[in-house]
Amino acid sequence: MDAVQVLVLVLALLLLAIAAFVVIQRRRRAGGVIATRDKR
Amino acid sequence: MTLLVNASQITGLPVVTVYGGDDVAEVRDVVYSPGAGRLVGLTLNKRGFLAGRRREVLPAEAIHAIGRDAVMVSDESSLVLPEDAPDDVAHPDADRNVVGDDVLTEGGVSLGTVRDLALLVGGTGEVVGYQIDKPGGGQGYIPLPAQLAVSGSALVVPDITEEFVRDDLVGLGAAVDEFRARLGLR
Amino acid sequence: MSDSFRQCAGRKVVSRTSAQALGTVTHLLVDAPGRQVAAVIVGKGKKARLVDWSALSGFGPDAVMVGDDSALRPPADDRELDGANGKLELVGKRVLTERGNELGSLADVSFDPATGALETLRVGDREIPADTLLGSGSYAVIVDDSQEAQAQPA
Repeated sequence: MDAVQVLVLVLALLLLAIAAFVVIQRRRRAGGVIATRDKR
Repeated sequence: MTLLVNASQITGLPVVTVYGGDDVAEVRDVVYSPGAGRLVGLTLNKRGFLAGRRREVLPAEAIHAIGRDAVMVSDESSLVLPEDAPDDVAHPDADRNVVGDDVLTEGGVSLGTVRDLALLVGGTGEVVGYQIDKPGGGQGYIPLPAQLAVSGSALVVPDITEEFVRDDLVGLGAAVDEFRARLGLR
Repeated sequence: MSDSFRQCAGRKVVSRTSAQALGTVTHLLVDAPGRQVAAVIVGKGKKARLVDWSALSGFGPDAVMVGDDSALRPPADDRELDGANGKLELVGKRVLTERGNELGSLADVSFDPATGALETLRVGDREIPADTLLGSGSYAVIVDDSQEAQAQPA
């Protein structure tokens, strides 16, 4: 691979890592309505 | 002001101090006890698009008010560590969630499945009804009696609930008083 | 005659004794419980200085007068630092009632230049009396629920 290809690959991996981080972090923050049934 | 909103609309709202004017947290989960018929509290995230969870929780007693645009607290000390909060807020059990349960009348008619809760804003969020996914498709709202025993995997409601299925929150608001009056006379 | 936050932004701050210009007004720091201007913030960034209201000679329509440059002091705590950085500026902040409903954005704040007492908050096309103010900070200005009836539906 030449230098340009390596650079493109690194950038692509970086963007992927950032996207993964954003998805994981947003999922951790995702809330909802929890209406817990009584224990029986 | 009797304005109803879906509980899911509270998630993501900022938690703001009345006397400090600061956004100290953001709402993550809205935790409700169907058996007790009341909101037990809120779990929190830190403020910011990618900020993480916040350890502290907000028990219902410490809430100053829930509005359309913010949840108000007196000051940041209203947010407490999980170890200092009631267990049902500190560790809400998402596995036994009524959301998704079938709604059956005592006579055995399925009204749909629970999608969301309808709560009153302005005060501390009394839950007056549920939003349901109807069997034939689409959503509706049903009013709730003041207390409802909930266990097993289905919600059992009084028969007359079937007459009080409404299309929207406005309809629900109008139906609640009559529904409760009818239950009282039974 | 009333003055307002918007009107006094950029006004010269002048030493009464030397007639020298010491800077311009960038923000006004508010004491919300007292419904009062607490201090005038002069200049920006690291060079920002505070003048406590009690240290002013006079707050005029064309210039803010101080005794001399010793009236200007650096921020003393985190809150004053936030004030100096503009984080606590009232104008432009979201106005929320204590019930958690938004009234709009704060367009301007009028005050009495003789005493520093806040008079009205202008939100949208309405004037709200300053005695409804409960708190203000980095995120919003909070007013009491006497303003509830005017809250706009979502």
